[in-house]
Amino acid sequence: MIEEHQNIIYKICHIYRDTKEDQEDLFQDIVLQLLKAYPGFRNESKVSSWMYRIALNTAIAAFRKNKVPLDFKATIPEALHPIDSEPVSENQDKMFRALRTLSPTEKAVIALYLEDLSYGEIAEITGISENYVGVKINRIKTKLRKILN
Amino acid sequence: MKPMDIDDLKSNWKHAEIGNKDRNELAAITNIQNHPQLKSIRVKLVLEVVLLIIFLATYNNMFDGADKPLWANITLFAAVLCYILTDVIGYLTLKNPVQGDNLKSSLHLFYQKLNRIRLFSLVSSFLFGLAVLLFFATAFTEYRYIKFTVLFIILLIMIYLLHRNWTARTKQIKTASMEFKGADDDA
Repeated sequence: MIEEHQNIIYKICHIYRDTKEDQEDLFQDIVLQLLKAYPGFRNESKVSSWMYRIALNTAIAAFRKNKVPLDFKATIPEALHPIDSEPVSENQDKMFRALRTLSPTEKAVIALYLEDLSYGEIAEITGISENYVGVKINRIKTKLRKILN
Repeated sequence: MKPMDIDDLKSNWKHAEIGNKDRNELAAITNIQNHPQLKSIRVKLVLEVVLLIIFLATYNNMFDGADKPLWANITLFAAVLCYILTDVIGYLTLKNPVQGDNLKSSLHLFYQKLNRIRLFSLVSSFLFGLAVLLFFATAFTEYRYIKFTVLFIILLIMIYLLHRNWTARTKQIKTASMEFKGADDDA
């Protein structure tokens, strides 16, 4: 199941961590949390929704080796390149760098939106109301437009 | 390169194919022994527990425990046990960041737990430091109050640094939890 859906985990790692090493550490952390949570997985929700919930939760809450606080910049730092070994297109690189400038909660909401989950599903995973999901997505879109253009 | 809009973003997101680990690689990383961050916490935990147990087993002979007052011995023993217990609970808590059915409740619960661990950690470290200080202070003869005060101030500084460390560690979780909690009030 993890092999099949590993792209979900990788995408989360790319938006929550800057360096290749941190991304690999987070990947491992998420896989372990998924394995731990699997016995409690009920088929009431989609596998991808469940994986997103665990992965996002781990990305936000996981203990990090270096305790440097995340710095949310208004512009994308040019020097930061996400990964060395896995080829990502220029557009994908730009997308990940833009998404990394958002706050952890904004990253969670926009990741679920980009995955085409409904407002109801996003509300269920995040625990915020459907109304606020809409408000939040509009705010994030405005923020991203400024960053991307 | 043309400017990217939200639809482009969605398309790029969906077509991002970046996961390429095969079954063997995935099997290797599912071994908790290989987890880099938990491994460093576990090594610290094991090291501390072993050193403290060695200390408990030998302090009586090495530091003349029999000559010290009974209350100093009991306080030291209790403080060491309390410190070890807090270490173990802290490790088990950090290992399980997923606590609830959604992100909002999970982060809230996890932050509450970390806050409790932080309090236990500060109190047990203070008690441990104070117990060690009192144990050895019973042997001070000259300038005993000055020596005790200097060592006590050093202990307070160490507790302050520990507090700062915990605050930095939990800051991101607190911010995210508050953002999710405040979301519905904001809507």
